[in-house]
Order: sequence, then structure tokens, then C-alpha cells
Amino acid sequence: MPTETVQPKTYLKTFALLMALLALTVGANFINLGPFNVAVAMLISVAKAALILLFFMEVRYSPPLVWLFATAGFVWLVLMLVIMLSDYYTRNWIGPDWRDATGGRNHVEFAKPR
Amino acid sequence: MPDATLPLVAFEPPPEQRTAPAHQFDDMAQQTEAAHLGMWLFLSTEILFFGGLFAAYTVYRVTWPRAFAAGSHELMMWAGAADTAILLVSSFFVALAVHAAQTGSRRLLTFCLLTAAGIGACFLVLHGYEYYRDFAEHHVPGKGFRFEGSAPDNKVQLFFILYFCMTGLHSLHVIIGVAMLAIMAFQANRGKFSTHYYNPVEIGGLYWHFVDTVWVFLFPLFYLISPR
Repeated sequence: MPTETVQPKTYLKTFALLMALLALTVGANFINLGPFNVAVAMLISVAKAALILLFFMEVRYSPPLVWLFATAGFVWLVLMLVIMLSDYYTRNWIGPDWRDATGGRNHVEFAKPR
Repeated sequence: MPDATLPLVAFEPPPEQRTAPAHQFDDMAQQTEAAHLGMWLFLSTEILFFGGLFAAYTVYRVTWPRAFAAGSHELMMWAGAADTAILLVSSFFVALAVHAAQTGSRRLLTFCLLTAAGIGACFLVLHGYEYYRDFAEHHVPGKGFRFEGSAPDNKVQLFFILYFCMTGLHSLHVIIGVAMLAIMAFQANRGKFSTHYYNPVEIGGLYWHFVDTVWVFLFPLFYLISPR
């Protein structure tokens, strides 16, 4: 719930900035930055999302309770991704026979990261 | 026998008299705040709804990066960029509609809502064309799927499964949004909203901007995976 009226000028500036970022993200796709391509693309997307949330969705002009609700969903999403990837990324540390390490017949040795 | 002169629907006062909140609220400010919080709560669940698909996407892309790059190069990047631009323009008109409602300009409000709905429909047409091209090129997952590239085609097929699920779910949201905007344009034209009461415009606007935000992430994740 915005506590003040947002002027159309603000909307126009936000829109112009969003279009500029769209051009930037398409342009960045023609430059080979190796593994940083995805980082640049995601960074631009987060910037665009922030612009939409703050100005188009008027979170910037809203009371703290709306801030809390608006950020909660994203915080939970990040938690889900981080915890899930901490599983998928670390599986290879144990090696291809990681299933045997937990269900083997003999005693279990702690595997070293490779 | 019912009196034919009585309206069948509940009596609605003209907008200038409709300043009182619904009976469970103390005042209009409280009603507006409750509506906004409720919408944000819904949008949080939407973030996690899409989040499950984003999580699946992340795991498979980390596991098979080359197949995902090969699949991505089959998509039309410029169409994806145009999709993004279309949604951003539409969002801008919805933001303007909120301002029109706040200033009580009925004609501008109707125009903005109708334009936003029309531009949203353009997104659906363009994306429908992209789906048609995918179908013609045998990139729809299933028995008919074919991929002539260096990457293993079952992994590329996984990319296309995620592509159709995620953009399909997003398009479903766009269909709902376009219908919602069109209905609100009709209501605005009938004079349902006033400077005292325009909650639906703001709440509907939040939904539309959210749909836009989802696409802002879908575009680079599917169309811009690796440099061309």
C-alpha cells in the first residue's frame, strides 16, 4: 500500500531503465565472457526485477509490513536453491562410488574430497 | 410474484458514494492495506510455485551445461527479447493505470487497462508463433522429438521439457492476466472505480508486474544460455 502517489515521470524513468537493461543483457550475450556470461545475465535480471518491484509495484513507497512480505518469498527461494545445490555440488567430492560409502558391507570410511 | 422493477443483483451505489469500507474493516486505509498484504502473500506462494521449476532447471543445467547451450541455440533469441520488451511496455501501461485511478481519470484508466491487455495478447500471439516453430522443427518433447546436433538428444530433450513447462506455466499466467485486465477495463469504463476505491486496479497491477518479473528471469535462462 503506497503512502504517496507516484508520478508518471517516475514510471517513465523506470521503464526507460528497464529497456536499457534489456538491451544490455542481449548485447552481453554477443561477448564471450566464459563462466561470467551467466553471472552477468543473472545480475542484470536481478536489477530489472528490483526496478519492477520497487517502482512499478511501489514497494519503495509501501509500509514495512509489505517489505517483509515482498522479500520473504525471495528469501525462501534462495534458501531452497542454496541448500539443494549444497547437496548436488558436494556429491562428486566423494567420487563415483559414493553410494557404496553409505551402504557398503564393511566399515564406512570418511571420503576425502577429490 | 417477484417485482420486475427491482434489480436482481445487489444494489451498487454510484462511485462517488462508495467511500465506506467493507463491514469487517475500520476504514478504507485498513481495507487497502489488508488487500495489499493479501496479494503479496499470494505472490510469495507464486514465487515458490515457480521456484520448484527454477530449482529443477538449476540442477539439470549444472549437470548438463553443453546440452542446455545446444538447446538454447535452437530458440529464437530476438523473439525472446521482443517478448520481454512487450511485457515491459504492458507493465508500464498498468503502472500508468494505477496513477490514472488515483487521479480519478476514468478515460485514461480505461485506455491504459485496455492497452495493457492488448499488448499482453500480443505476447501470447508471438509466443504461440514460437511454439508453432518449435513444433514444426520437432523440438516438442515426446516420440516425435528430433535434434540434429552434437549434444546427446535426450539431454537436449530435457532442456525442452523445462522450456515448455516453465514458459507454458508463465503463459498461463499471462492468459489470466490479460483476461483480468480486459475485465477491469470494462469495469473502469462502467465507472466502478473512483479516487476512493481502486483496490482491484492496484492488486491486479501487482499480479501483472509479477508475471513480468518471472519473464525477466525466464528470458536469459532459456534464450541467452551461452554467447552466440
